[in-house]
Amino acid sequence: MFLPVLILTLSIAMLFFYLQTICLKILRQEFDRDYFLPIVNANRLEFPSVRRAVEEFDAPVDYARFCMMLKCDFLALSYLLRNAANQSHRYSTQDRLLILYFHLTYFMLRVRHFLRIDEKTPLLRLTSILQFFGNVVGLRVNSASFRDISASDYLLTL
Amino acid sequence: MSGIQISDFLSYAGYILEAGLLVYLLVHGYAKRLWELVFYLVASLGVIATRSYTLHHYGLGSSQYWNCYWTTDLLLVLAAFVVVASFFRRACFQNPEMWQFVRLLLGTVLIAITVVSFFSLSSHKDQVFSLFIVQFSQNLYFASLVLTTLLYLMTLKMDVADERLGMLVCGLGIEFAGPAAGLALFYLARGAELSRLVGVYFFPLCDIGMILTWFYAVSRVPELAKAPRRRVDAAPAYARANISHV
Repeated sequence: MFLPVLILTLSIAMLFFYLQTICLKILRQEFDRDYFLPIVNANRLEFPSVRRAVEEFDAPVDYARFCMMLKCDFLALSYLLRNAANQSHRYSTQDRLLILYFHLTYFMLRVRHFLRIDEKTPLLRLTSILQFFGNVVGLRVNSASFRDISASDYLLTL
Repeated sequence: MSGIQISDFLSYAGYILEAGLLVYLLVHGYAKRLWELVFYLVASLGVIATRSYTLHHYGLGSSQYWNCYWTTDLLLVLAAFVVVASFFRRACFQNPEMWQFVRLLLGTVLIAITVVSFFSLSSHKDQVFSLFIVQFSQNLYFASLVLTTLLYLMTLKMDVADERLGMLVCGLGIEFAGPAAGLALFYLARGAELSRLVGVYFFPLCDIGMILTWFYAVSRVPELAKAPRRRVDAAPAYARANISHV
């Protein structure tokens, strides 16, 4: 009885470990440029300032404000992922996996806040996911050939 | 959608993905470089064909199908064990002394699992063969999971430059962790409804997870670590896969 219970517990733990590792490996994917910067500027996204506040200033975490900022950025970026320079208007499998990972990390952030454990690690991870989304959107927009199409022409093709 | 339809959908999705990945590997010339993936996929598709044949001829409730299912499951986990061993060899490419040690470890693990599985069934002498296969599969799945984790840690410790290997190992980890948990539950619940549901939904999902991870590793992750970051205009092939052309 002991051995199957041990196997069950460890196997479930390792399953989650591997799923997280896959997400982290995808997030480590490097881009040759910071494609996310124009996207951040154009859409006034706030996750870089959240990361700077957590990393550099080592100030106490303003939980409610940071959560709102990250959630708003996530909504904007997930919309852009689906609609900006994306002809199929659908998320890729990679996007879906990372969106799920974002939700799980956000849930963990709330749990850690409730238990009063360190909140900086999940906050930084959330900003990494958002930066990756920004890079993907930026890369797509950068690679899209709009030629002489005006904004209204483009919208009419949607 | 009923439970049976969902289960069928997941199973067929897994088969199609496996066949798709096999074709992808063969068409893109990966058959030699990633022979272990080809070996595992061929074994898996062979197992599917054998099970389908037995199911068609003997029916779901027959003892022949039960024996066929668990015997092929054992063959599949042995094939996966070979894949783990080959990944170890790949990771120890620049360290032959480490490979000597790992080879000894793998052999010892296999013998130890056989012995432990046999002795843990001393109270079920009437069903030794059938329960031995289930027990052996479960233990081998778990041992392979532990070995896969060791392999993953080894790639980190030895700073193995092969990025793709890391991703392939993660895929294998999902394939082992899910069924190891499912089989342990099956053993604890002694065939109760919960363990049946795990077999119906969870195993195909883990299979799909592994195949998708392998697909990602083969199609998008470069084999060797990337060169230091350069500030050039062109997007790297790795990142370019994210582009949906307008």
